[in-house]
Amino acid sequence: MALLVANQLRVDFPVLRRGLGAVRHKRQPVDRKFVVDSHGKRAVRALDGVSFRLEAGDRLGLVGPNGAGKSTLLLTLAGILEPTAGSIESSGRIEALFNPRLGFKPEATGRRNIYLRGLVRGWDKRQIEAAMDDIIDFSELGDFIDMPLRSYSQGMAARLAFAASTAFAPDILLMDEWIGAGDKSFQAKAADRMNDFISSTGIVVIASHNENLLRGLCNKALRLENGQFVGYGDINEILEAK
Amino acid sequence: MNEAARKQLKPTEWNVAFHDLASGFRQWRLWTALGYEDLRHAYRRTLLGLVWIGVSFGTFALVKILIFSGLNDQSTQLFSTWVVAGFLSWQFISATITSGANVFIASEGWIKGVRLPMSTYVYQNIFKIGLQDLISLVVAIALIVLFGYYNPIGILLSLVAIPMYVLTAVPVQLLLGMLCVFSRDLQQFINTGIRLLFFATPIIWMPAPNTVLAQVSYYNPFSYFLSLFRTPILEGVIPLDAILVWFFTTLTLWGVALFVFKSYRSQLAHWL
Repeated sequence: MALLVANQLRVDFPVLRRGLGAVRHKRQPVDRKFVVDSHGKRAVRALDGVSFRLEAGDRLGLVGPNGAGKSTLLLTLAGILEPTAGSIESSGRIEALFNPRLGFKPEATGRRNIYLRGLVRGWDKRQIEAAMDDIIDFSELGDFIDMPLRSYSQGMAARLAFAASTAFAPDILLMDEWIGAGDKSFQAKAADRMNDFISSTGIVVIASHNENLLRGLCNKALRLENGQFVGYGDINEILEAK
Repeated sequence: MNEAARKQLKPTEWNVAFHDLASGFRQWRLWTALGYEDLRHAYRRTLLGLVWIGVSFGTFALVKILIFSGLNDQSTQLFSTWVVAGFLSWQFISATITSGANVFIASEGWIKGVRLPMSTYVYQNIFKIGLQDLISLVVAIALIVLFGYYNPIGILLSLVAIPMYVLTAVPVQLLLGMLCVFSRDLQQFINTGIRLLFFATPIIWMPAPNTVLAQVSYYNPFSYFLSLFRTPILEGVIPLDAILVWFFTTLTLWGVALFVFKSYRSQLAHWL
């Protein structure tokens, strides 16, 4: 049974000196409090006080302005960032759909890229074989599937990425913005597939600025501002109470 | 599950580190495939493809022999084997170190995009370097046989160095990869240092007894690593001092690397 519980999550990013020894640091925001962590080092508190409990069937929308901490929260839930404090409890296979094109190799054929993608997601050979035809079929690539990816148009690569990413629904799905791909006709098909995909997933957490999308998709919402937990509850209540 | 039971099950940092190394290794299908694709990407759309690796190695080795054999007293035949074998070992060592310093930095997109064991990136990188050097190895053996100064059984014996190198390469990359994420200056320092070390290591020169170079060679641990591969080809035996230096260096590196890895692994993504 899918379960995802966050308990007082906090994520700090280290702040580094400028000049000698400084490190390229993209995450340094201008309007956020600097804190001093337990080792006496300065840090940026990117996320603080986040708690929620999701069970099978729950769809959580993350809302808040840019830099609110939505992506940080998703990365933490995905197990990519370790929380500085607090804990996450989960059961079920978690899958993050952050960057559908991550890991595509331009020199490899479409078919081999599907295989590689499967390996990245921890599928075994049999599972990959099983999904292969469906992915090829859905991506509408035809004979191009045995050509190197670099010969594809942007749209073709996007279609392949979308098809490969949505082949098997996980127990818990994490998404940073809605994904879609291709031209008008493919977009409709992609939207159908996405809806199927989401409805067969136990728990969904999606960050988006599109409130209409979230209203249609989610039953719960969580609002973040400047990394601070602002509110959590029924989607309509959270979206009204700005 | 109650609170106490959950606390007991909470894995220690050591367990997490070992699990990372083991589960990363088990995903060999992934890192061999990705390593191979990396290599193919580097030689994309070339006529010779991966053959360029061998061509490049052979050309450099020959040029080095041509230029530096005049500066050494030994026969050209002996010196040729010395250079070819030494240069091949050095190619693996220097690539392991310089790309090890970059292994996590270069994988930033992956580390932030998908949850894989951190060791996966190390295995992938070493696999790529190893594959590259296996191609060079074929050329190296061909050159050595061509020049004619070698011990036939020694050539087989020299291959023992390959797993030994790999056993050292893993902690080296793990350690340097981590440290360079936390201090990017270290990466530049390493890149500079490795170029200097090339000259301080007996590759294009042979240490004559009672010279400064003999001292340099004696105190330079890289000499012994080279010797693991080169001396069997020349003399038909693996020298004991080289094995000892390898063993204690590798043991120490594993110890330090594991400690750094278990302590800072969870912070890696935050610092990238």
